Order: sequence, then structure tokens, then C-alpha cells
Amino acid sequence: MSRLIVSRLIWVLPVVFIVLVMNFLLTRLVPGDPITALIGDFPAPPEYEARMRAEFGLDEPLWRQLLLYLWALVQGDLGYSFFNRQPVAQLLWERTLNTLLLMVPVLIISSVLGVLVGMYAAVQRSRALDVLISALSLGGKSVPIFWSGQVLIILFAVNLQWLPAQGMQSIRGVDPGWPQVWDFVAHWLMPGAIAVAFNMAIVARVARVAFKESILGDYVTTGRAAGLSQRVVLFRHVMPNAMIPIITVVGNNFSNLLTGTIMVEAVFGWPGLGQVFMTSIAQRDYPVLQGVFLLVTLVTILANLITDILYAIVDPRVRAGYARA
Amino acid sequence: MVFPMLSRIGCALGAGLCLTLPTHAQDGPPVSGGTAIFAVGSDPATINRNISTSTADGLVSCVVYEGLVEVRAGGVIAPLLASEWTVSDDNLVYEFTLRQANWHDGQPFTSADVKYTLEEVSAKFSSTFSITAAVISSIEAPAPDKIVVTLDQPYDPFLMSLNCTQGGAILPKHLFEGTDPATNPVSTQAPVGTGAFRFAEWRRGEYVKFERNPDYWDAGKPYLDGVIAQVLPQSSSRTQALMAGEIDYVASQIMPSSDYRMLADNPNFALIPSPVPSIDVMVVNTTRPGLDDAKVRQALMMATDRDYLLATAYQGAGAAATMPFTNRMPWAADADTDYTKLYPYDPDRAIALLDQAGLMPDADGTRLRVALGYLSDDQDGPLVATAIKSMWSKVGVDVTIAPGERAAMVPKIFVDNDYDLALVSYSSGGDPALGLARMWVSSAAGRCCGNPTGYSNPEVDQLFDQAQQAAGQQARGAIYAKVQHILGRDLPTLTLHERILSSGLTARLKGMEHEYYLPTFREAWLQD
Repeated sequence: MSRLIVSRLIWVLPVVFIVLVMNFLLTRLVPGDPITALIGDFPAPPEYEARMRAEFGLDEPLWRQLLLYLWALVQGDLGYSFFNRQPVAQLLWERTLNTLLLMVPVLIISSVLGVLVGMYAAVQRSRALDVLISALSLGGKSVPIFWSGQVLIILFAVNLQWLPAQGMQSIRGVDPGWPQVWDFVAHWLMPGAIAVAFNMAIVARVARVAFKESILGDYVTTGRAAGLSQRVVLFRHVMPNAMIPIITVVGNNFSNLLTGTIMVEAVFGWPGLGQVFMTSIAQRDYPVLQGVFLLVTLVTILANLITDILYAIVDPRVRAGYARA
Repeated sequence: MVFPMLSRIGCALGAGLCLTLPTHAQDGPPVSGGTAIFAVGSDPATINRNISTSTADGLVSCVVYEGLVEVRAGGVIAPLLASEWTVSDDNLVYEFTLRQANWHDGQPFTSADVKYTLEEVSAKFSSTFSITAAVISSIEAPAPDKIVVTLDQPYDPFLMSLNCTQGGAILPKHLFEGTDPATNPVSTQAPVGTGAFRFAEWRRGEYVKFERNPDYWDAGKPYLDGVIAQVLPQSSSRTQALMAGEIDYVASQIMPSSDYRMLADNPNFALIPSPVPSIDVMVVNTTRPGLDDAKVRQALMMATDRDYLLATAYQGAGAAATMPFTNRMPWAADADTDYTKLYPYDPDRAIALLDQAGLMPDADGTRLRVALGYLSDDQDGPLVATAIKSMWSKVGVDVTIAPGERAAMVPKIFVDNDYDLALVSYSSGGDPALGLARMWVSSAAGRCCGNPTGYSNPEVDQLFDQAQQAAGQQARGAIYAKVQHILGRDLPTLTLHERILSSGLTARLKGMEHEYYLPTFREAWLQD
């Protein structure tokens, strides 16, 4: 197992380095200018503009900017946001926490529900359930969230006034303790439900196929013939065999942990990483964009690593493969 | 001459656009208490209007900071940090008496703060105030409550430029002196002003909270316990949050115009039209072949049905433009420059003009091929551009619609002048010298958001200078009329539409009617 982890980790550094350089160059290639965006909508004195450009190091040649960026990064400095006038690390840390508050429950609920629904559909061989899962996953993918999200807001927040429309908490203030928890849950419900539906449908679709195939295995017939209960057959024998593709898709969902909800955050005013990402694109806030890209790269690499380790844990054949190598 | 002077801009006879605000006699006296929440489109970069003209920064800055004067709806200039002032007969020397006020950190506000701010911050960092700073010859502080400003030449919009919106907010010298205002934490984290509300808390991405200033110089005000700016990046979500009762106010700058009707039809909400005139303009790159001929530009104007644009693309809000400047400054109008007479919608005459200019139809019947750009966050942009494409196809002008994202388009249009035609809007700032001259003068070329047209006319430059220096609206109006006469014939810009932006608010939020451009909530209160 440790050999697996080491063999993966060796690749992390070069991959991160290439991604860093690519991201740096890509953000600069995009037409547009942070200083113009920063100054606002009125002609600024040219000296002021020049001073700003110098202050952010934007007057340096590109290669020097890149070297300075990499050198600072080695020292653990992610840079300084042009707009937020805040260290990027601090800014991203706050926003990442908010995104995790939204997304961790979403991924857990959608993974568990997805597997259960997929399994149920495979066992029941229910045509209606198959259609529903396919429709949900197709719908989740093709109906834009800025539409479905707004429909939910207009229905539940504007018309029925059951749930809050925007944000992560009531900014008029609520009592600490349970009211605060409930206030958070109320704010989470709509964006959370949309994200759960989307992620769950993807898992359920893969799980259904995986269970359908595994359930045809001879060991199932043997187990049933030996008088094992349906539950034991399903959870002890079918599930481990069906898990590989499911782990792949769940792992993939987790690698979208930070960026999977950009649109959800935008529609529901959730103060997460997606929101800061969108705003920073509009403002050409290069240091923040580079920071977000770096974070996403690291999460993706980590999610892939964990997926690989889980393969090895779940599937003795994979484990054996590494032991031999 | 003794002030306070009432300088009226905007509504006058025959403007057709005069918006009488509803009187709220039935509202009763203001009630104290409650917190009002208003929308901002993003986190502010700095809470300091004097170093930034971005909307998000502006919307929160003037809650904390105050200028010597305030501009009230209708362009009325009223005392704020200056309690009164006198102006010398030659209009060169302004003597202000300051109020007894304290900074939010308890230090006294004095004339030293005024001198420091205007000389060291506003003049150097404010793109708007720097126009005014160019005519200031000296600022003296003979006593803690006296400030004397001497100008090189008369400058009529001087008083107006001393308000917070124009970058004239007074900053605490004791916290700024010797620092870079752009990076000083007082600008970037926790502002300290003299305003009705003081800074309380900033949660990035969520809100900026302000609380009542108990030590406010205007005893009894403000009525609200606090105001909170909530970050709502999506324009549609602002209306939704308003209608769901989560926020109380969306300023005109960021209120989606397509949602006006929804609020107007609902008794729980209200709209307040912005008193600041602003216009939608098609800027023309007059260095491009074809477009370099005034006849062609005139033809394009006659090929554009502005009334149709108003009714469809602009959803009936505002008015069709009738002159280069805004219709809402009738004192600066030229009697001969009326677009309804000069350039009525008339495709046949447009074709005749194109013929005269030598633009003959090719095999496809096309006389001229142009690209029309707009900013992708301009809600009306797609509709206006599509309508113009169809109108101009009738006179043989082929339009390629070329929208672009703001951060990319603004430098492309204003700095590189790499465009044919583009739809932009300009806010007048309440005076042609403050907000409109930049569109046509040579000195504003090559910079956002000045003159992108390549049009440079020494006579126009000179007239704008003269109008800025002349004393009194009548004298200035006569000079502006001359400028408009020239611009109305040369047409480096096609003014298409008089934009009347509106703020959206809950009906229970009162006392916002007098606000001019950036909200202060000084007189706001919440009805039970």
C-alpha cells in the first residue's frame, strides 16, 4: 500500500509545477486588465494608473512576474489580492470553509443516497425507477442551475416565503445556539437540494449498472442457494464487487468539491469559493485566480489519490497488482 | 454673495422628463430604530470613494464619509460638513465654516482634515476630483473651523465637486497622513469617517455592517440603528432578495432595469428614479474608413429609430435622446440642435446621405460593413444591437454584433480604440463638466472611460474649457449650447437614449427620496 502511495506522490510535484505555469500564462493571455477594472468607470489620472501598475508588479515583464510568483509560492506566499486587499491565502481559506459547509453534506448525502437508489433499482428491476433515474441525471445535467435555482427561489422564497433566498445566514442576526443552526440549515436547503439531486443522479446511474452486472455473478446464485438472506447477499457479496465503478464516480464528484457549485453559489449568493472565483474573473484578479486554480489542482490530485487507495482496499486484485510490482 | 446657494440642475420647463417624486405626507414623522439592508454587487475593494470610482466601493463609502456639501435630489447643493460658506464676487475665493463634528474614533474633525484630504488624497487619487483640483490654486486653514479655497479661474461645479460622490469625502488626517491611501487599512479594512453610520463589521463575500453613530453632529439623526450592505453578485438575485423581504434597498446603479415593472406593480415596493441624468450612447470610431465621414454618421443616426428602441429594447423606460447631452439639462441645450428635427428616422434620407458620401452598394447591396460592440453585462445591449442591425440593413449597412466581457471590452474600446461602434452609457455626474465633457474632449482620449472616438476638435476643447470657467448657469448654458451645436453636426457619438435608472426599495423604507447618487441613509427610516 505504501508503495502505491509513494508511486503516486512522486508525480504530484511535476504535475503541480506544470499546472502552475500553465495557469499563470492562461490568466495573463485572457484579454482585459485588472487596473482598468480596479479604477472604476471614470478616466483616472495617468500617474495614478502607473502607480497602481507598479504596486502590483504588473509593469514587470511577464517572465519576471512568473518567477516572482513561483518564488513567493515556494515560501508559502500565495500572493495578495488586487481587489480584496487581502492575502490570497486568507481570502481563499475563508471562502473554502464556506464551500465545504455547502458541499461536504451534499457529497455525503448524494453518495449514500445514490448507491442505495441505484441498488434498489437494480434489485427491483423496476422500469419506472430506471426511467426516473435516467431522467433525473439527464435533467440535472441539462437544466441549467441558474434557471432551476431561480424557479426554486421564486417559489419557496418569494412566493411561499418558507426559505431564505440568498446567502448562508440571516444577516439581520439570529440567536446563537439552535436558532443559528436552523438558520444555516434553512439557507442550505435549496442550494443543497439542487446539488444533491445533481450529484446523486450521477452516482445512482453508475451504481444501478454496477449492481445489475454484479448481481448476475455465480457467487450470488451460490450464496442464495446456501440460504443466505437477501440483505447479506447484497451488502456482503454484491456491494464489494459493484464498488469499483461507484468509487470512481464518487471520487470524481469529490474532485469537483470546490468548483462543482460555482453556479449554485452564484444563484443562491453563497459566499463560497465559486463566488470569489466568478468575481475574480470579472476583475482579472490574477493572484486570486491562480490561488483558486492551485487549490483545485491539489484537491483533484488528492481525490484521485484517495480513489486509488480505495480501489486497493476494496479490490484485492488491485492490491495484489501493487504488491507484485 | 451669501450661501447656502441652491443650484438647480435637471428638471425645468418643457423637459418632458420631469419626475415629480411622490410626497409622503401620509408617512408621518420618522420613526427611530431598525436596520436597513441594501445590495452591493461585490465586496468593495476599498471603502474610500476618493480613491476609486467603482460602484461597489461607492455604494458603501458615502455611508461612512461625508463631503463639505451634499447634493440632494434635483441637484440642490446643501451644507453638510460645512455649515455655511461665502463666495467672492469674482467667484474665485470660497470661504467655508465647518461644523463641530468628531471622527468615529472620537478625534475632533478640523480644517486640517479638509486641507489634507483635498490636497493629498482627492487631488492625487480621485479621477473625478482631479478635474476640480486642476483649477484649485490654494487651500488654507486659517482656523480649525475655517477653510479657504482659492481657484485659478471661476469653476461653477466647484461646490458640487465637494460632495462624497465626486471624490470630495473628507478623510481623517490623523489616520492617513504619511501613508499610501490605497493600502492604508482605513481604506481597505475599517473606515473611520464623520458620517451618520460608523463601520462595524465586514465579512467578505457576505456583508459590510454599519451601526448608528451615536455621536453624530446632526443630533437626532440617523433614525436607523444600522445599515448593512449585503453582497449579491447576481443581478436577478437582488430583486429576488428584495421581494423575499431579505433586503430593503437596491441602488439604481445595480438594480436590473428589466425588473422595474415587477416592483412598480406591487404595492409593497417602490421605485425612486435617479435624479442624476445619464445617457446611452453609441460611440463611433471616427478613424475607421467610412465612419470618418460626418455624413455617414448622420446617415446612421437617421437610420436609427430611437422611438422604436425606447419602446422595445429599453422597455419604455426613460426617453429617446434629442441632443448630444442629456435632455435633462435643458439649460445647456441648443435651440437648433434637436435630433427629432435634425435626424428624424428616415431611411430614404439616410440612403441619400450615404450616396453623397460615396458609399455605394456592392453586389450584395451592402454599402458599409461595421462591427457593433456592447458590454455583456449591459442588459439592454443585445436587444439594442439586434434592433439596430435590422434597422441599418434597410440602408445597406451590414452590422456584425460583437459583444464582449467588460474587463476585456473597456480597454479595447477606450485605450486601444480597437472597435468600429460600441454601445456605452455615461453618467453626467450632475454637470456637463463633471461627467459629459470627457466623452468629447481631446484630453480624455486613450483612457477609460473618456473619449474613445478619435474625434479631436480644438474648438470643442476650448468651448468645454470656457464653459467650465464661466460663472452661472446662464453663461455656461450659452457656451454648452455652442458645443452641442457642433457635436450635433459632427456626431462623433450618437446619443440614443435618456436613461432613467431607478432604485428599488421596500415601501416601508422611507426618507430615501432626497438621495442623489450614492446612498447615505442619513434621513432613512423604517415604517412599522
